[in-house]
Amino acid sequence: MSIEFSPIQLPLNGGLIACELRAATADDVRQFETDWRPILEGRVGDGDPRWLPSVAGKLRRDAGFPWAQELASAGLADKRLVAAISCKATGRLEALMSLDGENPHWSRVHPTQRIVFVDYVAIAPWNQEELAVTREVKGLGRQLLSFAVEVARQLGYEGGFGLHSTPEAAATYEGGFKLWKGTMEAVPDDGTWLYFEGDGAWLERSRGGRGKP
Amino acid sequence: MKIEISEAWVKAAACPSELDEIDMPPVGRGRRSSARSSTTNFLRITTATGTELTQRRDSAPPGSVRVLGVAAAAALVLFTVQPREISTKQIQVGPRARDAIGTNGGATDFSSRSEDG
Repeated sequence: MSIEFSPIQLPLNGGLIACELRAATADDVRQFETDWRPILEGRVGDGDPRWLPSVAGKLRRDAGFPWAQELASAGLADKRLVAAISCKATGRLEALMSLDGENPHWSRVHPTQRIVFVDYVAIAPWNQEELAVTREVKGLGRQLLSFAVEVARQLGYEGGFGLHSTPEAAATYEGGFKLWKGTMEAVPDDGTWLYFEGDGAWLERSRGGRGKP
Repeated sequence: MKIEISEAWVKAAACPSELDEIDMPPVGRGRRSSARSSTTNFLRITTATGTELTQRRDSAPPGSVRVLGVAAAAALVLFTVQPREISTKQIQVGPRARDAIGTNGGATDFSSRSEDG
């Protein structure tokens, strides 16, 4: 048994694009493999007007994310899930996130509180400013992290979530999303990562539009 | 379990925020997947008698994994203290056990090993 949730309608880009937040399926994994991965691996034409010149030939970390395994793992556990955001009209996959509420993760800010851990987040290449000449859907990161807060609340975890960031992404989480910045954490057999955390208070600030601590 | 998203959450999510302009970097550690894949999600211990003990890795609290290890060790001990059934050619055992078997015609002799406790 695993977490289920009803699809949610999300008007993004000021209501111009109606999206759906729902549980990921095998078809989402297929879309990742066939539509996202070639671009994330840099396999685009040199003159392709949709992509910035820097995309060609560059392998990105998110190309190797194991979504099929994440989906299978979520099916085996009570408190794990993979969420997907897709375009309501076309079904095109826009973003994926896997959450772990199963294993015991604890807040670094409030050490007695359990949190959910954001294992993986990936955004479709056409929604990434780094890749697309015209970024299509905006706000996917905020929606996914807000959803993580909601899941953590419903699991009885006070709404906290944590994630491990690469050093190069730290500025975005700290200065952009204004998450609480922890320390570098060594993960057994998996390197050292910078920890960030958010919670309900972060969500309220983000809704206020100012993002001040 | 089922997550029920409130209407208030959806309305709030629909309101534009300056955070929407931020390009979300990918989240995901390097080797995490191999440690938690669906095929390696189970802890398997095969005892000397061939018994396979299986435990879900992600659902097992630390204590239960320890109990599983103790059970495996106990099974190994039970097997190795039956000297008449042991063949050193068939079973790979540690040097102490091999000494005990080889020096006493197959019978286990602990009398000279009191220093081991």
